[in-house]
Amino acid sequence: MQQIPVYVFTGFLDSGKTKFIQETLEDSRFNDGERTLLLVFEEGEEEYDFSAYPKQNVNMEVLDQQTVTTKQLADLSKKYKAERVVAELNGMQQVGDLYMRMPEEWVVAQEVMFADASTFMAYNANMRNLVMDKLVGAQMVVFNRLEKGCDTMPFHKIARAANRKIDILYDYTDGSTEYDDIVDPLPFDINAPVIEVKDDDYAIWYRDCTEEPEKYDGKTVKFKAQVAMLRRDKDGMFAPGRFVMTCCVEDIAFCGIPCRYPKPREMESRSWVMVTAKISAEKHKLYKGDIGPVLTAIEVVKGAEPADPDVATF
Amino acid sequence: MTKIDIYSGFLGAGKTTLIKKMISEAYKGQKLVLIENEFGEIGIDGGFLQDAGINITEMNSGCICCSLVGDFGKALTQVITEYDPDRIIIEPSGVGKLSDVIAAVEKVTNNEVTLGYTVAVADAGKVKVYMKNFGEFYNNQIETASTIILSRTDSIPQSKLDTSVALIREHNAVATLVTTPWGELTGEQLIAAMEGKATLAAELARLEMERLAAEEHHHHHHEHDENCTCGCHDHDHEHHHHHDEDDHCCCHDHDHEHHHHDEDGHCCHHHHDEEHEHHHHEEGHCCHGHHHGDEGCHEHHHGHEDEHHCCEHHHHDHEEHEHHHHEHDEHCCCGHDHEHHHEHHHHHDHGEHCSCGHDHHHHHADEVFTSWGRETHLKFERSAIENALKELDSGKYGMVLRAKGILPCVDGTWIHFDMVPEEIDIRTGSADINGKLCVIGAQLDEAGVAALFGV
Repeated sequence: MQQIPVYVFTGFLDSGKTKFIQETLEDSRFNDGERTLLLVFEEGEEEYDFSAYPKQNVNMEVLDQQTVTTKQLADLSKKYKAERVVAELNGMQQVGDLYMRMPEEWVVAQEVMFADASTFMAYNANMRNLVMDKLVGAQMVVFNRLEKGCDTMPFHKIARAANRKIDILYDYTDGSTEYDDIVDPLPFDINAPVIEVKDDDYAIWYRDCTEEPEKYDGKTVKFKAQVAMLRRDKDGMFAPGRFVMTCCVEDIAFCGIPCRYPKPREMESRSWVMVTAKISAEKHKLYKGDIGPVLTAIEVVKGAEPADPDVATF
Repeated sequence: MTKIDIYSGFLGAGKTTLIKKMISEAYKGQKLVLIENEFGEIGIDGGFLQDAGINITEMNSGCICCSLVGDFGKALTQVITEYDPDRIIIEPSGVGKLSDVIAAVEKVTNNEVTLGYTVAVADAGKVKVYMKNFGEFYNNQIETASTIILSRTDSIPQSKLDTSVALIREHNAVATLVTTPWGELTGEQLIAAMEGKATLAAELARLEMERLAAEEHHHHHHEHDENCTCGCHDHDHEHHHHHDEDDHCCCHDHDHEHHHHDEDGHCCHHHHDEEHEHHHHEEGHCCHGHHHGDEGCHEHHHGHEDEHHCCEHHHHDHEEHEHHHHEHDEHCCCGHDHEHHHEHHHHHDHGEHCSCGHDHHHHHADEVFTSWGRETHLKFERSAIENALKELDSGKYGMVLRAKGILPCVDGTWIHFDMVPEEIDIRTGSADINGKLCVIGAQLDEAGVAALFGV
């Protein structure tokens, strides 16, 4: 089956998606004649101008992101013999919901988010789940309509907290652009003999070591956690961890790390313990067969004081 | 007593700005609590609230999935117990459904706590794109609100405002729609809008009253009697069609239906071709009865014993009459205070149904008089209004008895006009929540009148 690359543009209304897509399709470096299916799931103020494209190779369809079916998408792709798809998504919908309905041969080649810096903070404060949804999956986020010289740190922090690998581009009102090159120091020293993770930093540590387990291979860590049993590893293993909230109460999930320990059944589920353990990067069922951090307990101290707040956040 | 007002609207619509205006201009002297479930771009700063003596409660993080779950009702109850406020102002999340917020509020309402104003604030320039792309929660705010207040109407082209108003009316034909820039309005005017007092129906009623007052005058002079052909006389006992369940009415009786749906010929204002009209009748009837000296009602008011055809369904004793008599002032359809009386009718009977911005007809039994009204967000040239009124007075559009208007001008001022045959009074006046045009006349060419004013 011929794979069809899909270029996805996300962001809220009036964030500059259409303008960017229009300019990209006008550019012969991107548009040298491949039959392109342009899917529009959001119709804002800006409109597409087909006359400006170098070749007549773009076919546009306006669709409802909430109700579009796999068949509809597949049919459209067949109808236009699309070699690639460019999609402008609806900001109020979850990106993943659409991905689930994409035909099998469609492969997301790139996902870029656009954000109007003048409304981004309000959107983030009030619709964090939708903002996170866009940031989490994107390879790049463009913050536009920024005043030259303004503080980009608040944008950086939100984008980075959601997605460690995202490229951040600042687009200023004077026409200039700038790549974000702010390096975020981790709030703990990963080169210390024992990496001490403070209660407030659990979420960051958990994410970092599950994203880059090799970095932690062979190191020793000390952190406070709640006891959780692993269903399949009846003996010799448990999963110390914390409840982590990414966006809001609705997405609180227990984030534990498998840990070898001789007598896990002696501990009470959900009780607080102070764990010191050696980390190794291994395959584990919890990571669905992928490599992730697996701990070997050096010391587990029971009766630790519960962390306050008990739910860990970024 | 605590009233709970809800100001919904998408992020950036201007909810906070409006609430600030209402707090400083309209809610003065009331004990207020503001519940915010949104982190606005413009924060309501602590100092401002302190000065105004307002308590502020912030709800949870304000994202869609968290809003309105569980603790909202609890928080509301707690706020009521703790502060016993006159008003609770809720600024819900911009992406929440207004109907959900109302449902949540209604769970805590009782004799002491009632739902107040339900407002939707909408950015006039974004109605179209938001409707197209947001769908349900946005439409729900528009459809559910009893008052829709457009923001930034002065910073978009007229054509865009036309589209926005039309779209809003597609989704909500009955809400009071404020299209005047807020800077030109006072908090009191906005409150009147929210209370349904600033509707076209109210304006039509006022005009109708003026006509009737003039006519009454005329009657006195000419001793109109039972043989009058004006169509306003009604010697039928069922003259008073007061079927609006108003407890205070002297005519409150036990066979409303009977009253209302009976023979057209006998009553002044029977004409039921549509809902709106239906609502309109009452004030017309009542006033007529009174104004035209229908013995029944008059005498009833004055406590005569041999009274009242219209109220003959009341088989109550004298004390009851007295009792009724006292209440007439404010509530009775036969009350003496016409101004008040009309206000009331509008408030209770029309408020929710008649501010729809469509034509309002007010047909009389013999089809002689029609009253026609329009709400408009268009801007007018003073000279165009002058010309239109001269034309209106020419007889080409039917016999115009009376016309009245409050219209925004292209130069930013507002024109108020009153017209009776051969007498046109145009002056500059204060802004209203939207433009209004009302005409009463015989054989009115309504389409012609609309075209004359370009509405």
